[in-house]
Amino acid sequence: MARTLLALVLLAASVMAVQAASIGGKLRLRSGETSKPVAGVTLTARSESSGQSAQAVSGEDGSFDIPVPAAGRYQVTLDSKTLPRGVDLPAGRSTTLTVDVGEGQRKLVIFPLAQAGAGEQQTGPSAWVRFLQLIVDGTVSGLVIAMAAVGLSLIYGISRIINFAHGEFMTLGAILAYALSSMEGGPQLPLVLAAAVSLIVVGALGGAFGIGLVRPLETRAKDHFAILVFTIGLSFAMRFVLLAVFGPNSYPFREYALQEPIRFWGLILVPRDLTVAIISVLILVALGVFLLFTRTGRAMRAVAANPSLAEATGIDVNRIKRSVWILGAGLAAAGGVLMAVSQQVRWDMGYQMLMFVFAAVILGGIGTAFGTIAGGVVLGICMELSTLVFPVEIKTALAMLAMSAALLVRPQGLFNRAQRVG
Amino acid sequence: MHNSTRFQPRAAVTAALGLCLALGTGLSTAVGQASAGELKIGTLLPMTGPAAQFGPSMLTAVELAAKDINDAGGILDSKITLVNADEAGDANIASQALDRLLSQGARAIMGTGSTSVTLSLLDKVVRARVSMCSGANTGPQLSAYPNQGYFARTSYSAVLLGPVFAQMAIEDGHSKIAILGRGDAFGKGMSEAAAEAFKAAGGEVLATVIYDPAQTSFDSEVQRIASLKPDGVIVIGYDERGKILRSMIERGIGPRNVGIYTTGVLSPEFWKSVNPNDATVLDGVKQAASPLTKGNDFAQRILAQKPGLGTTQFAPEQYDCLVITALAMTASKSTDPTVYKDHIPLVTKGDVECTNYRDCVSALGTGKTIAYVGPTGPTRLNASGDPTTALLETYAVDAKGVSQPVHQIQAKMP
Repeated sequence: MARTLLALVLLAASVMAVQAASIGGKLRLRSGETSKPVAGVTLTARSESSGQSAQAVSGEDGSFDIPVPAAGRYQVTLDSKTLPRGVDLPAGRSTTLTVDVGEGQRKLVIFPLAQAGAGEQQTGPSAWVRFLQLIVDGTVSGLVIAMAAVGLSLIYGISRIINFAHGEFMTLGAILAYALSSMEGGPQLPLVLAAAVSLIVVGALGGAFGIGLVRPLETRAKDHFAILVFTIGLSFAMRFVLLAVFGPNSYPFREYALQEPIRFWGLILVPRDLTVAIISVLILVALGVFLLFTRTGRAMRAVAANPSLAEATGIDVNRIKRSVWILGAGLAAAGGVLMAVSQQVRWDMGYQMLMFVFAAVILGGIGTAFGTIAGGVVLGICMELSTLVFPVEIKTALAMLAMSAALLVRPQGLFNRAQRVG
Repeated sequence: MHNSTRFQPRAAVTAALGLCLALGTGLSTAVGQASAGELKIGTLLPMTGPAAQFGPSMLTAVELAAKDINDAGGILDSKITLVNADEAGDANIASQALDRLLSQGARAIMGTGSTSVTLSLLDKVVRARVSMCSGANTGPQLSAYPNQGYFARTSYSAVLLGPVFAQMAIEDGHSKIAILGRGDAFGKGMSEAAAEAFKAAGGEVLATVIYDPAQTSFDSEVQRIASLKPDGVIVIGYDERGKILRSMIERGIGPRNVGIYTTGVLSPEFWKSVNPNDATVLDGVKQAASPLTKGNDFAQRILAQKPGLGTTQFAPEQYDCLVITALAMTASKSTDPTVYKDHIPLVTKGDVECTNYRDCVSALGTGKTIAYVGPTGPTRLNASGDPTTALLETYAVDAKGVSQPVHQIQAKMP
């Protein structure tokens, strides 16, 4: 009932022009990308209330205009006998259309003509190509999530603090890189250089944040909850300062604005996404090598595994903590820059990503660097793949549902060993 | 433990309160009831949040209207004083901001910037018996809401505006379209209205995809639409459209391949958010909105009021909101919302047409009923506070990225 009412209102509200009421339109024959006008076709409009009817024939440009005596409901019929040979309406489409014409309105109607017998034009790529395309898209966005998530995970591993301001480190990285590379009146550096500067600055800031603010709090606060709330507060403060400084709009990097996509096997990949994927993989591999094979990297893993034991073996825990804060913030900035390359720079981009970053960390197993990377990629692919079957509107819901389900089965995360008790 | 600095709760609380008070008094110098000869009007506009691009334009419009009204002698011998608040696109923030405006004695509220926020506030507005008028809300849900006459708008409901997008697509000869709509009351309402109108005219709507505006990438949504190969795409949204249009162009459904129709007038800088190296990137994108030049050279006046304004979108509508409210007060000889609210629709559809506050007031003075036609054009509000007629202008982006008017359309509700 409500629907019909709404539909009636909608119909009645249809657009009017300042001339006598009429029913008009244009007949075109569509073949592929082009279309040409169809002339000499007779159309009849018959009033449902009075039974009066009027006629018109489509002109050279395919357009027709049936003058109707008064407002009301009309049945418009296209005389298919007058169509040129081989031209028809698509299968299943009636030659009659019922429309409501308002006072003084020129009501436009559509009769889509096509070559008779010509099958429906190819409707997009095959399921297999769509599947591969979604895997590719998911991997790119997953890698960016992984980059930010691994920083968060490292910081948690070493200090048991979930840093809610991590998203703002991402945004800050992207905005700094934007200011240095693309902003009007800025130094217009190449993006690579701008990103490097931004990584160093944000890394230093992260170090200062961890050492200057969080550590004194750690020694004085009774529990980690206070620190958690502190980082949430800082996240809000930073976010709205960024809004005040950067403004509410989003901007792309000059060098990666609009690109001609690479097409292969029916797949579409925009070059900047390829760049983002390659750089993410390189950074993550370098991180892996650093954690596994360097002294500092090993010390970081040792402190994460058991801080007191690590301290007993002579590792300077405070120095390691500082390095981890710097590294974590730098990785966040890198994630921010890459995300902005793939998307755009915006004042709350990091915050919008934070939930996914958390999801990746938890999914991979909190505190494990490699698990987190895998968690990010899995999450990205999951989100994209769900659109194959389900409406695209609920992809975030499905990804989060999948994460919750995975945690029910493996509470320690997909890639973490079960928690030892005692 | 660490007893070197003893924590003193009383001192800390005092310090925190002191800081807040210092900030508070700095921000709001005039708190309390209006003094004689002064009439307070509150603004509740999107100065931050997703619709923040419209906030300055709407606020400037209210300021200009207040100036015009005060220059013409004010309302019933009182001068308007504005008290401003930010709705931030957030129901909670907006609710607190509304409380503040009410506590400061605002007799009418100008706002808000989004249908969703207005919907969340209407109960409170009705309970507080204050009148609210928005120049930006388009959601059809507001028409059905039992607002008891305390809410009106000069912006067109999606029921009026939606079919215009369908008409533009039909005029360009498209028979298969897809619709991308923002996931809020505005986006859903407009998408539905456009889809209904297009189907009713015999066209085929391949898909209506509603996207979550908070997400960072719209590639999956665009990919889904691109794979359906539409002739035309209607995009209903705010500033996230920059990202969406870029993705659309890269996936082969840009303005050079298909017809693109979108809401509002794009700012002359908008192409930069799609491709900062190419001003022609949006060439041919079509829009529909109220004509800005109608009546007393409004566009120039609003820009003179605040030079450097990014967009003038919703400025005519919000300007008319305040003028209509002021006229209702004058007509009812009362600044009490419970009295003047019933005159709000009346002053837009009386006998004598007048185009500015001064003329309208003198027409009222002669005992006639008036039909105010401001920069928005005729609105002829109905009992639920909705415009029943809309003068719209279609625009197309030119090769320099600037939206140029194409032609005018008159839309009507029965």
